[in-house]
Amino acid sequence: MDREALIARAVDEVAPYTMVHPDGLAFTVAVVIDAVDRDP
Amino acid sequence: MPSIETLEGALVECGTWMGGASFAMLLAQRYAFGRIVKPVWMFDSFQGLPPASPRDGPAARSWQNDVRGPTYRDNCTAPLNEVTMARRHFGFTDSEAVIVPGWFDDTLPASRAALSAEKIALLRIDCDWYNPVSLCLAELAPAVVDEGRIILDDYYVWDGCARAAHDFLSRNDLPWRLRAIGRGEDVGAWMVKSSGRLPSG
Repeated sequence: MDREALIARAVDEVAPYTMVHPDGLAFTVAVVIDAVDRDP
Repeated sequence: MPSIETLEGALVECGTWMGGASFAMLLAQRYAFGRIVKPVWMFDSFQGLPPASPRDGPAARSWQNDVRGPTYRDNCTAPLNEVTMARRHFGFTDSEAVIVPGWFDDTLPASRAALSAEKIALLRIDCDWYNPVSLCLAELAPAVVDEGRIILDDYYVWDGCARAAHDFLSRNDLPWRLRAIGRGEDVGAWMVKSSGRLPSG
């Protein structure tokens, strides 16, 4: 799964459980992926 | 300057409502890496928002008084048992999605030592009003690692959130830049923690 598809899937799956704007949620998810990427 | 890819620390959300953003942070790790590398600490009163103060502005007080408004949602109350059920629905353990119920005045100071030891890679603040946003920044920003991100979901929505961010930066003499999130509309703000005068956690 590419990065954009992954982000879209995570955002879509939690939609019933959030009031966060989808763009804001996608930004949060992207920050997380980048933060974890090279974690040992 | 270290790249964000090397960041240590946990993920923290203050003001989770039903937990969607926290669960998205965990789902992303599951899909991208096949496992949960960084836990998410989920802070919420699960009793709704505290009363808005004058610093939150007239729109906030009007919103909180309009209990039949379409966005009121019982003062943004999320029942704890439903959030716990949602955690189970997504298959996360209680050490992956660490739910910390209670008012921030109690839970943030009580968690500060643990989070100072673990560090914070991302601090996501979504608690609307001046007082809780100020408390989140004062208690948890010191534990954010250098180059860590701080997201302010309500920066463009509520005066109190913007005031809290500005006051925090000014009080600590910090030059961190606030940047807009969103494509075409501003749906939040974020900033990068950089070395400064703020005492480490």
